[in-house]
Amino acid sequence: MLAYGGKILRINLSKGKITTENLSEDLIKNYVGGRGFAARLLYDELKPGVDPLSPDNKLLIASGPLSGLFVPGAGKTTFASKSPATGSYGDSNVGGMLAPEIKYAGYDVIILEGKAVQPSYIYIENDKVEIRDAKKYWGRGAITTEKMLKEDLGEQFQIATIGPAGEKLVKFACISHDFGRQAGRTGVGTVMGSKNIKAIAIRGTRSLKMKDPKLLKKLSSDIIAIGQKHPNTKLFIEQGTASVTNWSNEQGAFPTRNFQSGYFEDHKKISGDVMIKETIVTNKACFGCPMACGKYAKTRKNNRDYYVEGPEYETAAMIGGDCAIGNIHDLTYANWLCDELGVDTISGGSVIAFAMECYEKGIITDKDTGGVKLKFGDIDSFEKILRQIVNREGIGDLLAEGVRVAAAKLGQNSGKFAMEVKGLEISGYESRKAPAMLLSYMTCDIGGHHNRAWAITHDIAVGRDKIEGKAPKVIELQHQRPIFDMLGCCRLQWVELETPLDYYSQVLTAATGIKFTLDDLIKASERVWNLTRLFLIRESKDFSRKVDYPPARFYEEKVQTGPTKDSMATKEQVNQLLDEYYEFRGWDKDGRPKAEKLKELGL
Amino acid sequence: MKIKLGGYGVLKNYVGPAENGREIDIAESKPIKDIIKEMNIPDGMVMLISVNDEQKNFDYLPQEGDDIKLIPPISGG
Repeated sequence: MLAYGGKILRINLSKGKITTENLSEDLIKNYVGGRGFAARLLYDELKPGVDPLSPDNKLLIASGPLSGLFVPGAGKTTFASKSPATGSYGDSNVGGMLAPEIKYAGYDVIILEGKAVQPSYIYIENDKVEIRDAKKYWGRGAITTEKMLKEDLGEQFQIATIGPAGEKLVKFACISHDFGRQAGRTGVGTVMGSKNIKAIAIRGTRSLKMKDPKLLKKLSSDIIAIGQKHPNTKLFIEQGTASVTNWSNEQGAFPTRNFQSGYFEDHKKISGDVMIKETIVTNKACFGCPMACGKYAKTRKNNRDYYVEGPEYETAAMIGGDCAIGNIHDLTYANWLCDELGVDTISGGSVIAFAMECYEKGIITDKDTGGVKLKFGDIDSFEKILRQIVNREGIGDLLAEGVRVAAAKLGQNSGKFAMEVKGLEISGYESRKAPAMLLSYMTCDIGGHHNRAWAITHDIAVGRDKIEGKAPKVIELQHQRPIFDMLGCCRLQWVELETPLDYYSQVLTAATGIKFTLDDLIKASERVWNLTRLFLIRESKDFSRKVDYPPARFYEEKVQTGPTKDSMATKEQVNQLLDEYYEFRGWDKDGRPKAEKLKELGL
Repeated sequence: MKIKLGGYGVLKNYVGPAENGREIDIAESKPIKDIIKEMNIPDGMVMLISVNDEQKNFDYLPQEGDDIKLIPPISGG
């Protein structure tokens, strides 16, 4: 089994039982790795209806076949579980160095099942696997814990850890790695906390065999050469993803004040070029990356220096614009707070923006906040409410459940501006004048997330008011982009630097010796997309197309300011988008895959 | 006045590839934003403009022999 680790490591935390299983050829051929393995294994192994925070749920940590090889950006790891945010399949991806280390230890997937009897961490050094006591680390911040574990075990260990938010089962807790990278979405950190697992420390010293290392090296060298000629390499090295902040505002696509607007008047104070002048200390790269898009930054507050990787564009959008924090130092500090406490900056920003609007409207009062005057743009009240959420104090205990649950409890029509799809808070693009992007959010298989199909440029190219014809492009992207989450490799070399997509099927074939064409990879990606849809259907009571509806704000309320001022989708347009999408997917009018589609995909 | 114009990513569809920019003749110097409009490139499709490998803004007035490359938005996180 070339290029793969070859084994699944299963750790039953309740029984303290540790076993390994061989990977099956069927799993490889049909699901490739990473997200593909995770979706198939979770679908097969989880009983329908399990509580996401019960010992019956499982947390999978999956590498891909390219992870750890001489391939640019081959350091991506997928964390997956039944999501406490959506109640369906959830995954989140993190860069860094973790997946290569999993492979070098001899594994492709680590499965955590059951629940440890006390706070613990997982120690893996090749075949030596132990569930160790973590009392020393419990209660500590995620960045602090990673540093402590590196000091205790050695710099060579790669660490994934949760912060206090995961311990307190905040529904949008993330898993942190490499001092500032996060598997942020779908509450994977919450599931880890529910299992009493503070961290995973892993060290592998094996080598990986490949079918044709010379060809693989040539292909990878080509990918690097293509990227080095592209101007976006320089852009990413200078500013990282924050380089898109100004453009997003110019398009009226920057979520502002809980998506009331798509333009933040202070965006030029938090953009990538301001970071260069004010906060960036150095650049930071994931495994095998020639681009180093991570921006390691420093800010100072209350006579203390704070170091953090970021803010990335999404953090700038969801804390900067959506909470109206228009100062780069305040934003950098807010980023550090979320990272140390173990909170996803996307959902965390959205939840606090929602609370700020509720406070503005009198739905939340001083009595609920313990006297905190929760206002847009105020970093101090942002911090106080964030800490209430993480400590589950006062209104924070409700907000810790995410905007869907909080709105259901608070009532007063707050569900209209609870900005989520399927229970997952929407990430950083205002989409009322971008139907393809809106459809992307509506149909993303993990809930309101952008990265499966970043389609806003398609809207701009073919017409932002046009509805018809948007679905095929969204579907095409939903199949192409997740291929990288299956391969365990960063997509930026393709999507930003224009490496042809078929390079990756050639790389995979050279590595594994198994003939994969680009069509095979796209078909596998479509298979996974339909499988996660089946997961959602299995877990839904009264399943209907309503699961794909966006928040009512998008079709009942106009954008208030900026270039997209007065734009709004309509309910009819929402249904029109879904009708076309379901038809092109081979799904019925409620969004269920038809029998012939499942047969075609071998499901 | 002759300039070279090309694009990256989706902008290739409008002005051809940046690595092999096509030569165009403009009667008089005018802001690059006007040339972009004349090429029927939708508003918002160009995020950055590179002229002779230096970043310029949309009001830049092209000079004889400039090698202009149009860069589409990145997908931000």
